[in-house]
Amino acid sequence: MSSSVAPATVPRPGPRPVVSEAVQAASLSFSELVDLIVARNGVPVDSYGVAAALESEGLRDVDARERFGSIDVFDLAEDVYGAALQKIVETPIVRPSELTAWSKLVRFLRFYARGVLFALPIVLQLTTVILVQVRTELTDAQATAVMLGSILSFAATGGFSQAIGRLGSTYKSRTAYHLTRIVVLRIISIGLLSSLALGALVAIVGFTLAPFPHSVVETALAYQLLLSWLWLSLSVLYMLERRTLVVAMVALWLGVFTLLITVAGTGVVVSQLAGYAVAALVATAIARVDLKRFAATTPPAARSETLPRWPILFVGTAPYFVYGILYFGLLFTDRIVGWSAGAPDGFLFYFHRRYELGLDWALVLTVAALESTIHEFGALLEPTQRRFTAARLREHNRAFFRFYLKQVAIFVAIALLSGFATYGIVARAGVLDHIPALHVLVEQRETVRVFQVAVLAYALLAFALMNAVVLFFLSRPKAPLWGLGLGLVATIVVGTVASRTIAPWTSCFGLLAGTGVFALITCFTTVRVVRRMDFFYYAAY
Amino acid sequence: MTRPSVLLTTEGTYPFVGGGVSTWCDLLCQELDEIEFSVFALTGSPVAKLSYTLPANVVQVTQVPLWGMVEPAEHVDPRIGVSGIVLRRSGTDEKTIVEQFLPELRVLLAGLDGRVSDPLRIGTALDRMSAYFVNHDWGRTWKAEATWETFRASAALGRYGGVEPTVGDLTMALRWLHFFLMPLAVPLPRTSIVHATIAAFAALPCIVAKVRWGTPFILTEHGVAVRERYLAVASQDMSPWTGRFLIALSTLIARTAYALADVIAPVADYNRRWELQLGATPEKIRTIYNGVDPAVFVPRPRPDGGAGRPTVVAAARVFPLKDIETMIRAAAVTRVKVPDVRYLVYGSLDADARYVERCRTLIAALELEDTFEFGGLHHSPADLYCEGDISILSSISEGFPYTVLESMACGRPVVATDVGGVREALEGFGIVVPPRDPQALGDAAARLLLDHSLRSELGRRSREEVLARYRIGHSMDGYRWLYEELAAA
Repeated sequence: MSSSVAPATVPRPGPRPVVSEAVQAASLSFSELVDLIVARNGVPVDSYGVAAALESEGLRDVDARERFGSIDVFDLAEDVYGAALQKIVETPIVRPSELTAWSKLVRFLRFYARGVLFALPIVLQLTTVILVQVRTELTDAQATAVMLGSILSFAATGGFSQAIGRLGSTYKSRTAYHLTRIVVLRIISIGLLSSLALGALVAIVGFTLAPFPHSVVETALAYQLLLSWLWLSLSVLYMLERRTLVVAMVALWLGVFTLLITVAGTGVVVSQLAGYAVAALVATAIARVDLKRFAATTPPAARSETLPRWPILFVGTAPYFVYGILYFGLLFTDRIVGWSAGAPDGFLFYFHRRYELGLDWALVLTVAALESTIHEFGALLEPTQRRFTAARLREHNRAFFRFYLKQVAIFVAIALLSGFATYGIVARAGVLDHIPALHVLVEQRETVRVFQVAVLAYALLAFALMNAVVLFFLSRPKAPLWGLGLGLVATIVVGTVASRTIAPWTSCFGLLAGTGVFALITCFTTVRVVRRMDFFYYAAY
Repeated sequence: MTRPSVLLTTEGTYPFVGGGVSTWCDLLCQELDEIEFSVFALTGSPVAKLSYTLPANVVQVTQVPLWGMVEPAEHVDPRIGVSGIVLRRSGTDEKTIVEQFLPELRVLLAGLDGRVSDPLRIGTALDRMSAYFVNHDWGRTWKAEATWETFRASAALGRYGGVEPTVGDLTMALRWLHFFLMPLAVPLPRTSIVHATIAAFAALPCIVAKVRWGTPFILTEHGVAVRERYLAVASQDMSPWTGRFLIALSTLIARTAYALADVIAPVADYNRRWELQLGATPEKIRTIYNGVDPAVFVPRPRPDGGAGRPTVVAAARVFPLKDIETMIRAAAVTRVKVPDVRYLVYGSLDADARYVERCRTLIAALELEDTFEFGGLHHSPADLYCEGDISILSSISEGFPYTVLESMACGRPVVATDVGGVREALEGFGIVVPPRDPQALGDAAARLLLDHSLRSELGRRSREEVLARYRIGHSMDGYRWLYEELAAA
C-alpha cells in the first residue's frame, strides 16, 4: 500500500466507488493503463509525456514497482509508450466539405450587399450633387462649392476613418472593448480638431488669396465641417458593424433634406447642410451610446488591458492613415485637374457636369465585391494551411494563386458589367427622361469619352483596391502606399499635361494613368505575395 | 564591500501574480534584505499590476510580456521612442539578418531536433541572439523571409517524433519562437548572481548571463517545468507536430539550464527525479525546502470554539491542476461516515471559469450543496487553516506546497495527494493518498475527523516538524549560504 500515515496505514479504497468517473490508474492492468493514457492524452509525444501522464493519474514509483514490475515511473512509461504507439491509427487529413454553387452564390450576394452598403454614403454625396443640381436652382458655382467642401471633408477624415477601422477593430478582436471605446473617441476628437484646423487653413487661404469667390469658400467650409463630422460618426457605426444604422442615417439625411426643400421651401444648400447636421448629430449620439454599452461588455480578463503609448500606436497605424488620405487624393485629383482647366476668372477650378456623371456608382458596384473577397480569403487561410504538409508547399501556394486568379476574374467581370450598366442607364436616358439636363449631357461627345475612359480607370482602381485589401490583410501596407503615391503623381502629371495641351476633359487620362500605376504596383506585389503565401501568412501577425 | 546583487527571474508569478512561487520570491526578497534584487518577470500580457509591496532591496523590476504587444520596444524598453524604433528597423536589413542572426538560429533549431546537444553551444547561440537584439529590430528579424526559409529548411530536417508538419504547423511554431524567446530582446543588468525560479523561458536571461559574463547561476524548481509542459500539451487541442515542437523547445531550454546552472536547488527531492532524467548531474542538485513563519502561522482554536460542524479546509486556486473534482468526490465519501462534515475551499475562482462551473455541476450532481462550499479568497491566510479541524490537498501536481507547511504550522493535520514533494513533508505527520483517488482521500479525511486523538497527535507533531525543519529561517539561510558560496567562488 502506498499511502502512509503515522502511526497507522490508511487502507486502500473500498469496493464501493462513490463516483464512477474517477479511475485509479494504479489498480488497472497494463493494457487498461495504456488505453487510459491514450484516451486521456491522445497519442503521447514520447515516454516522458507518458511519465507525466502516469504521474498525473496518480501512479508513483512505488506503484510502478509493485503493480507493474518496473524500476520506476519512467521505466514503466517507456513500456506504455511503446504499447501506445501500436495503437496509433492514421487519421487522414479531412478536407472541409465543399459548399454547393447555390450556397456560394448566396454567400457572395450577402457580402456583396454589405459591400454596396459600405460605399453608399460617399457615392450618394457625390451623385446627389448632380441630381440636385439638375432638379433645383443649384448653380455651377454652388456645385463647385459643394464639391470643394465634399472633397475637403474626405481629405480631412479619410485617414482618421481608416485609423478608426484599424485600431477599433484590433481591440474589438481582442475583446478589449473598453479600449475600442477609448481609442475611437480619441481618434474622433483628433479628427474633428484636424478638420477644424483644415477649415481654418482653407478660410485663411480662401479669404486672403481668394482662389474662389468668398461665397464659395463659405459654403465649402460649411460642407467640409458638417460632412467631416458625419463621415467620422459613420465610421464608428461601420466599425461596430451597425450597418442597418448606417442606412438609417443616410435615410435620415436624405429625409431631412427632402422635407426641408419640398415642404419648408428652404434653399438647397441650407437643406443639405441641415440634413448632414441632423444625421451627424444622431449618428454621434448613437455611436457614443453604443461604444459605452460595448465597453461595458468587456470580459473581466480583458478589463485590465491598457493602451500602449500613443507614439507606438502612431507608428503602427500611420500606414493606414496615409492610405486613407492618398485614396481620396487619387479619387478626386483628376476632377480637380480637369475642372481647373479653363476655369472662369476668380475660380481655381470650376465644376463641370460633363466630368461628373455619377460614375462613382460603377466603382461602388465593383468595390462591393471586396467584402466577399476578404471574407473568402480569410476563410481559406487556415484550412489550406492545415491541408498541406510542408513538403507540399508549392501546392499550398498554388491554391492561393488560383484563388487570386478567380477573384481577378470576378472583379473584371463585375467591373465591366457595372461600368457598362451604369453607362447604359445614363445613355438610355429614356429611363431618366425627367432629368433633361442629364439627357442632353450624355449626347455630348466629350462626356461619352470621359465616361469610356473612366469606366476603364475605375475598373483598374477596383482591381487595385482588391489587391490592396489582400496586402493589408497580410500586413503589407508598403505596396498599396507606394501604388497610391505614385498613382497620384501620375494622375497629376498626365492629367495636367493632357488637359492643358489637348482638352480639359482629357484630364481623365490622368485618372487612367494613376489607377493604372496603382493597379500595376499592387498587382505585381500581390502576385508575388500569393505565390509565397507560406511566408507572407507566417509574417502577417 | 559592495552589496551582493541577484537577478531573480520569474515566469507568470512574482511580483504580478500570487501563489506558492510568488510567496517564495517575496519571502526571499524580504528575508535576504542585505542583497539587492533585480526582478526579471515574464508575464502573459503587457498588463500586469504589482500584487506585492516590493521591499527596498528590490532595486529594479523588468516586466517582459510574452504576448499582446504591438511593438516589443514598447514594453521591453519604454525609453525607446518612435525615432529609436525607426532607427532599429532601418538598421535591420536582410544582409544583417543573414550574417548575424541566422547562424545562431540554426544552432538553436539544430538543438531542437537533436542535431546539436552541447548545452554550451546552445547557450552561446542564445547569448549571441541576445547581443544582436540590442541594436536590431525584433519584429523585422523574426518576420524576414530568410528567417522563415531557414526555419522551414530546418523543420523539414527536424525529427520531432517523425511527424510531418503542415504549413500551418510551421507558421505557428515560428510565431511561438518569436514570442517565447522575447526575453532575449531585453538588455540584462549585470549582477553577482542570477537565480531562475523555473527551468523554462525565464531561465533564458540566466543562461545568457552565465555564458556572457560567467555569472554564477542558481536554478530553483518549484514544480518541474518540462513535466508541466507535457501535461499542458496533452490537455490542449494541438496538432501532433506543434505539440512535439513545443515540448522540444521546453526540453531544450530546461536541459541547457540544468547543464549551465552551477547549483540546481529544487524545493523538494521529488523534482530531482525529473532533473536527473533530463541531464542534470546529481552533484549539483541541492534541495532547499520551503519554510514558513511559525510566529505567523500559529495553532489557534476554531472561531466557533469547535462547536460547529466537523470542517475540512483547503487553500487552493480552483483550476484543474488542483483536481478539485476529486476533492468534491472525496467530500461525498467523507459524508458517508461523517454526515455533518463541511468542506470549505478558499482560493481564487477566476483562474478557470469553465472548470469552476464543472465543479459546481458536480457538487449539484452529488447533492453536496450543504457539504461543499467555495469561500473565495481568504483575507487572512494565517487564520484560514484554523477555521477547520484538518486541511486537505487534492492536487495532481505540486512542488513543495506552502499550504501543507502552513497547515502543519497551525497544528492542523493534512490529508494530501502523493504528488511532488508532499510526501517528503507529510510522511509521519499527516496522511498521504494516491492522487485522483476520491475514496482514499475521503476516507482519510473521515478518519482524521472521527479520531480525535490521532488528529491531535498529528497536529502537534506537524507543528513540531515545522519548528524543527521548515522554519522560514532554515529555508532562507540555505539560499543565503548558497549566494555567499557562489559569490565567493
